[in-house]
Amino acid sequence: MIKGLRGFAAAALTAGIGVASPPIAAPGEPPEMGAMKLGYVELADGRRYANRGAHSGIVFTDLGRPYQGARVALEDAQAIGRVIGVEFSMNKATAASDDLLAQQISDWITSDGIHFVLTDLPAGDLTDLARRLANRPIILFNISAPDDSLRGADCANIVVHTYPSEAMLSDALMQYLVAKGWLQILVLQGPVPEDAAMVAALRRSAKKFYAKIVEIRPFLLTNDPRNREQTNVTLMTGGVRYDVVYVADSSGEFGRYVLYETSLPRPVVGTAGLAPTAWSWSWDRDAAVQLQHRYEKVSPPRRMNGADWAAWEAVKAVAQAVMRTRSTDFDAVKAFLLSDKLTLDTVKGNPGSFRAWDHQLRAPVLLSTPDAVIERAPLPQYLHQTNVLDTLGIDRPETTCRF
Amino acid sequence: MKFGHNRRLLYVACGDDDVIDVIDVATLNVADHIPTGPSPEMFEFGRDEKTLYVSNEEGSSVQRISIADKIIEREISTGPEPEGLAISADGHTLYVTSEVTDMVHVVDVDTGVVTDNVVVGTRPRRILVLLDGKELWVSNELSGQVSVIDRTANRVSTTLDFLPPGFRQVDVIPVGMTMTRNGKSAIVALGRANHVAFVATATKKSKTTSWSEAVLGVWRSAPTKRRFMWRMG
Repeated sequence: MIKGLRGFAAAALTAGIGVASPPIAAPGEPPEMGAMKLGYVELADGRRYANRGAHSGIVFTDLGRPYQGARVALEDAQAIGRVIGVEFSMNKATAASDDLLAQQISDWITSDGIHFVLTDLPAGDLTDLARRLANRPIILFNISAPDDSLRGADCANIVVHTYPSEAMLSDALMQYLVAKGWLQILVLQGPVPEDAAMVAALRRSAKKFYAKIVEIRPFLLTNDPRNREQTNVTLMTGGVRYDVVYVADSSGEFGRYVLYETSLPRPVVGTAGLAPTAWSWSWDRDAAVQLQHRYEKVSPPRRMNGADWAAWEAVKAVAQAVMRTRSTDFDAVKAFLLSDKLTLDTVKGNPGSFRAWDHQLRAPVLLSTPDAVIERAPLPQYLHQTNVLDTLGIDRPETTCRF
Repeated sequence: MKFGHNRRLLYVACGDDDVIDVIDVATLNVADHIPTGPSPEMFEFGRDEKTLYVSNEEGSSVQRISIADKIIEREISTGPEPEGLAISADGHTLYVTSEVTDMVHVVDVDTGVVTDNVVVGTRPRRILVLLDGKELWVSNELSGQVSVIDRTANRVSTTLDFLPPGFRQVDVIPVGMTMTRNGKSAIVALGRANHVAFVATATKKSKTTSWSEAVLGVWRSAPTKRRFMWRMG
């Protein structure tokens, strides 16, 4: 950085020479202000966002709620709104139960004309909410739950997913493993249901891309020496041959010790090591840096995470639909949003759109370490008859979703 | 990058250093630095080559910089992620794309005020001004089209589609564009579709030619011995 010259430029600027007003429509005609109000809901119980490791007083992961991602997109939308004469705004609600959330959204539909609501909810609560609001003029954007059931048996017509599914994430990782020739996978699985869901998705992906899971070995979070076979990494990874170790540990506490402790020297992937993610702050292509910086201005010192990105995409999808239809009417906006005319900027290279069979946003997935993106999926080796993004996740012929 | 002063100087925007370096072509040394705002992307000369207009992708603005005094004379706010710039032949109107808001801002250069906005395709990148000055062509990266703007009305008059044989619409990523010296043909690089389109500017009829993999940029170099070279990359 040429610091001296930069300081000179800054000094010249603050000498007070014309900073023009933000861009607006042609002067003389006030724009017709239609309104597009969005909603954002979350549960007060932050179980998913509890700091990991907090029991020992050391916080080693901070997930962070994704509301800020939506706020950045709202500012971007407002810039568009000033030109096309639409006022974008967002109401936020935090409630203690699904009952109260359903009530709040109901009120929003009837009294505030809010028909597009971002939901930061775990799968069970989202399914419950969708059931209560079925057949209402509403679209709920799932911005944080990866559960495959939400895109399958528990799918709902009013729910649209911008966060990637568990199937998309494991397919992305599997594409990379197979492309590298790391076909023999040893799995270390944790005790909670989220870990089991990850491994179920991994099994599907291994079958799809012709890799082999050599063994699944459970681990426990305990100090009991009688359980050393389920806590000692070297013991757990001995006596079998494999190319790579996959860790399914949503707590994060066990996975951080696996690398360098394995019996054979092997790469670690899954929830530790190389992970499939919706977003990484270190992604620096496709104008990601500019988005990352706009986010950091709004939310210091946090960095954007996958759910932030998904929230940003949801608001952007509505903004694009409004812009292209020049309408704030629910049916018109919804129709465009779910059509193949949507070309959503995923900030990962490919234009995104929603799959007709399960309302999942098709988008690239990043394969990341804590501080770098190693690869973007889908990898170029994989082909598809209509859209290469559909090599990730559940494709039309396989879906169990019936709206 | 642009040549200035009858090709004796080469101006290069350096995004990470927030500066435009000026290279003396004869000696190939950096002769000067012109400080800009954060992350300069593209730039255009003012009518008399005494000023530069620079788009700052990080700062969401276009700056007018005096080359001699190296002072930022004016800063014009734009939508997020401005990139492509073009100036009318008379030097009074500046056009700049905003990638996030999918529009082209029309700026009165003398007052620094945005007087109009033209909604184009998804993620507009670059602007080409046709020789007769009547049209602006804007490449839309994610919707795979070129928007043709009628400058008199500041509205999109037509949209050009491209689909080379054997490729999908999502592979068509138009970014870089250039024109032949006589203005009769425009050349559009089509990105992952591995083709380049030659478009007759009058009729808008296009022909695609297979090129290298992932061709994004198109420039026209000076004619040497009556041969035109288009360098692509």
